[in-house]
Amino acid sequence: MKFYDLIYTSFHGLRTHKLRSVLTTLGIIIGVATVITMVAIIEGVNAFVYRAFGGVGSDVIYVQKWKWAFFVGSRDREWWRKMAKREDLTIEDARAIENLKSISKVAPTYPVFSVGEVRYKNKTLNVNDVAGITGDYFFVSGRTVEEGRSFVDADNDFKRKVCIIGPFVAENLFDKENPMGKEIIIGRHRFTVVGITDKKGELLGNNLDNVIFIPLKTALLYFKPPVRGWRGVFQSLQIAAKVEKGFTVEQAKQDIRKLLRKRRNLFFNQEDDFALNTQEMLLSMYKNLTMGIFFAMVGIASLALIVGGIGIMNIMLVSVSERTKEIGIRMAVGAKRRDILMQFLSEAVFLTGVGGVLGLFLGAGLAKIVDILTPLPSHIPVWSILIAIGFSMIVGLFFGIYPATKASKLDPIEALRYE
Amino acid sequence: MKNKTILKLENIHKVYRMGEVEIHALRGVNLEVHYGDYIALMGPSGSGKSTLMHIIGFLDRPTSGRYLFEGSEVQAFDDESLANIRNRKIGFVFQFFNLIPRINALQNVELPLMYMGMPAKERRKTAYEMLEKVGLGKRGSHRPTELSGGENQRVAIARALVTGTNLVLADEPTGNLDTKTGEEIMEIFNRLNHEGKTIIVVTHDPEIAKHARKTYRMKDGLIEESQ
Repeated sequence: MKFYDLIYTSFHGLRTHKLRSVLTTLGIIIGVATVITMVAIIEGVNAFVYRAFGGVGSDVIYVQKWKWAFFVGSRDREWWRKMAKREDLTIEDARAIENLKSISKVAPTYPVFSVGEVRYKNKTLNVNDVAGITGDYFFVSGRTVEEGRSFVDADNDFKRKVCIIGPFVAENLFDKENPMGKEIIIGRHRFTVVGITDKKGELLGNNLDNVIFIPLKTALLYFKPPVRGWRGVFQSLQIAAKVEKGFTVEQAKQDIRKLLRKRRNLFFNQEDDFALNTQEMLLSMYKNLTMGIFFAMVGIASLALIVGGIGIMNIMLVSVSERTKEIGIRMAVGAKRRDILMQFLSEAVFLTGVGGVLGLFLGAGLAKIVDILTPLPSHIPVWSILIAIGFSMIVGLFFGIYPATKASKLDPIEALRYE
Repeated sequence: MKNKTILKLENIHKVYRMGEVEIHALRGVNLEVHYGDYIALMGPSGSGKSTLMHIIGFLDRPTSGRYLFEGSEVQAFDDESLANIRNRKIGFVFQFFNLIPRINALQNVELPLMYMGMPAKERRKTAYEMLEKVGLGKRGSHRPTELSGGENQRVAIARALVTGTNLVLADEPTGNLDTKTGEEIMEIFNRLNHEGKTIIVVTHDPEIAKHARKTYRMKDGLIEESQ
């Protein structure tokens, strides 16, 4: 019996009972749709997070006052009080770190808070982030200057009032005007636009393109935080250090740690009063979070597929006994046991395969709806399509074996006599 | 080909077990069939003629005895070989036609060719020619339920012969038809026999048996006499 005959025969067998076939595959359809929807959402968010975070590269160490803990619950007052007492990092620290063998480049960054609205002519915009940086920022952070120029040493040395703006700022503050060379007002100071960065998009509702960069020393000069209050705590220099090729992140971390402890005269029994953060930490925290969701989803999907599979087995058993006579006839005209086995097996696989495809479309539709109605992005990876259809076919194969074997073992005479 | 033996049964026994009871359906049947024979197998129900037919047609195996088909010992064949022989060497015609109701007449005739592994196009052509031969060329697209009893039996005959089989086993082929249609069907068998096909008809109707050239009577699992 040829392969296309098998396909045709099983397709024909199922077409006879359209409604029954569809109802039977409902379990499979729901299972696959669940997986596809969830995978699409998780993948969509993943792609986004990785693009936003991952662009920085895993070879960058962030030297900061405290440890990142975005996905961990809030900290208590005591913890914050301790953190507030920690010494700020300095440009000298950055320079010392850059001199380490295991570090290729550093990018000290100084976040500026409470600049309020940024203005150009009569237009204003609330900027998410204003940061003081050096030109090296663009070597370390994964961001690039798309138009115009980066900062040069002179910008910092002479504390020039120049700025590089994010594309969102360019669009919203300048409309169709070319922002290059124009003056915008940040705080109470006029800054000349010298560059525009690349597009990064949005991360969990946070617009990464609504940012302005100014030279680090300019920022330190004009935007000093008040001595008291939360700005004094948060607004402190952080240093992004890129690990030199040939060194591991762990090695570089050790070097920085040693260096900073020495610079701060910490005793061996004193704990670090700084933190070395890496992209890896952030991603692993994020991964842990999504893994939980992923496994819950796999659980739900497997349950649905098993229930669906039992449904398939049930209906295939009904089908076998309904068609006992047909099996007898087929055997009488020359069907081998293997032909009968394959016929029913391919019917089951066909059934679940079709269920898988329908589930795929349903899931894709749901994911699209989620994409449109919520801020969660969705993306259906090719592997999930293959796995969804592959798995549903495997379910068909597995739960089809018993009924198909039963059919193939029928005695031709008894099958023929069956009414 | 004439007078050459197509099959030979020697002391064939068939015992069925129905729980505790053993039923001796065949009790030592001897039979020799030559190419081109036209045999009627008569006998009351329960005489074992259907069982014999099934054994001859490889749908069933004898409990004991020797069965030689075209010179080969059947006992040695496995299930797959038996399926192949059913497919290529033997055509069945049943009382209740035994067509698959959800596919059309042409597809029913194609069925043995499909199991033979013939490509679809060639298969369609061969099946169509066979249907034309039994006078149903134009009815191929109809399903069995849309055809009369006589037409169904013609489809069944076409199916039985389509793989180029020589031996046709007909089990009460007219039992479900009116006399006139039955005669028409028997005419087809006569014609086939003229063309050289070997035909064995199981019947309890002497009128039908008259068409055959030889008649065997069965009783209690044995062939009693020949005419």
